[in-house]
Amino acid sequence: MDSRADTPRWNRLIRLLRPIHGQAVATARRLSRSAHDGDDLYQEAVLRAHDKLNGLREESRFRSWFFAILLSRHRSWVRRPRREWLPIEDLLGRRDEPAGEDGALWEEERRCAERAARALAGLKPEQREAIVLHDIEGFSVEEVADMQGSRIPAVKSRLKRGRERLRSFYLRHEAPRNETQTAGAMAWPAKERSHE
Amino acid sequence: MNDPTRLDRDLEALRTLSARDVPDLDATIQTIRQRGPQRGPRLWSFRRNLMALFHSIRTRPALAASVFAALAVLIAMVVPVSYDKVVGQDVALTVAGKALGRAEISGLAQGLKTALGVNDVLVDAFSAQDGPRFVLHTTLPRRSGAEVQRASMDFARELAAKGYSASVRVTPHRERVRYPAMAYAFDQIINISVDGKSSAALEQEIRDRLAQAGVPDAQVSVTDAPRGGHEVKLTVERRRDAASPTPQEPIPQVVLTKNGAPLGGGDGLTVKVQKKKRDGVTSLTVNVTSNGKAGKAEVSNSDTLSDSALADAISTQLKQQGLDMKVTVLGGKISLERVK
Repeated sequence: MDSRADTPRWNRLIRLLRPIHGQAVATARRLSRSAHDGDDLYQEAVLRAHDKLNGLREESRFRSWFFAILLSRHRSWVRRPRREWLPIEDLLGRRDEPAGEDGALWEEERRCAERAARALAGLKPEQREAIVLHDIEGFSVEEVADMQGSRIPAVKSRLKRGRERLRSFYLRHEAPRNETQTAGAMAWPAKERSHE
Repeated sequence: MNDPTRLDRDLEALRTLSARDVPDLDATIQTIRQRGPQRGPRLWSFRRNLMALFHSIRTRPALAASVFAALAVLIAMVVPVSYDKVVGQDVALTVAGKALGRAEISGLAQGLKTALGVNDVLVDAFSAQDGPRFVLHTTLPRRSGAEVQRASMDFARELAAKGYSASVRVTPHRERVRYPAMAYAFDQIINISVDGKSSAALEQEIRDRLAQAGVPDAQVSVTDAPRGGHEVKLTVERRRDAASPTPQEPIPQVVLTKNGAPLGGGDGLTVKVQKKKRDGVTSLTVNVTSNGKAGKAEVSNSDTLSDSALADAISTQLKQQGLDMKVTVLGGKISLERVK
């Protein structure tokens, strides 16, 4: 029987996912190179979670259990051949986002996010996960270690090295106004930069 | 440095923007449930798993190599191969004498049973001009061929002392077996430890183990090397009719070990001489491995050459391949030594 047709299991998963859905999608996007990739990653994680759901005994641990699956899928994604980059609108939702009264502020925020995403893309997958989960999502080091299936010293080391690499990235890109796209980093479409 | 501030601000911006326009959970689940075909899930699942496997192999070469190695070992442990295995020793004791009657033969059979510790002895009787001849056959379960030979010879000597004409022949008893490839590989390797053994003891053990493995005619010589250790010479001769459909029996490999580890074959010398006679023409092939370096000499019409000419032909070819050997041919028998 196709596992996708298992309605009671889906219902249980939806019930457990609902409180963390927004955070998990956002985390998947932050780990990925585009919003589209992030959403795909999230969907893969949900599908895997559905397949393994019967093995989940303590529902109180669902959040860390699901995030561990998300990280596992993330690493699998990283090892896959590079995919086509997709427009930044997918990541930032800019296409549907009204510029509001202060368009310049919005544009600046977009540029900052773009730079952070590019910097994160240069980290090793485990470092990126640690930074995203701890520094952006606010998980404790212990929680991150649990999700990554690592020991606490390893996570601390990843955080330290990850931050060093991020700082190094920012030192290299000292002139933010004129910075140009780095090959192999995030997919920022040219038409977006024309606004800068 | 203002980088940490910029970094924090950028991460905050990323946090804000990536949390916007998050698709509704129900819509996401709906999308997932509609993903992929509803029909033929097994085929799709198989395809997905296969692709995942290929992907894993491509991205983790070291792991893939380990998995393949483990798989190969597993196959070798499971897949059976048929081969002839020495499972014991056949003893044939031939006795002749004018005073041999049924009662005497029965007594001899009983004596052989006691001497060799076997339960059954089969007797073949032959009539000849100089009197009847009896052959007493028995098969011993796997034991050292040399040990069986000694016990049989002792018994034959006792009979000779009693005035009988007795001779004994001990041959390995082979049976077609079907064991995993791994077992076959282990059967082809004889591990002998040299720890604390004198040259004579080592020589005896090599001879016994080879006999036990079906090579009773190996010429083994172990002497004390001038620089310490042992010098081992092992010669096995085999003749086979080229037209014979029976494949040549593989000769097991002797591996000497010290402190549980195989002795390095760096200073070993292995010589394999093959003579092939076809349509009256003899061709000779000499395969040499010395210090891990292999060489081959081929001489056609070798029977027409003198011993010295044959030695020259072999040593010249080996020298061209970087193997400096002293080749001696005496009555067609070839021996090689490294030039010091």
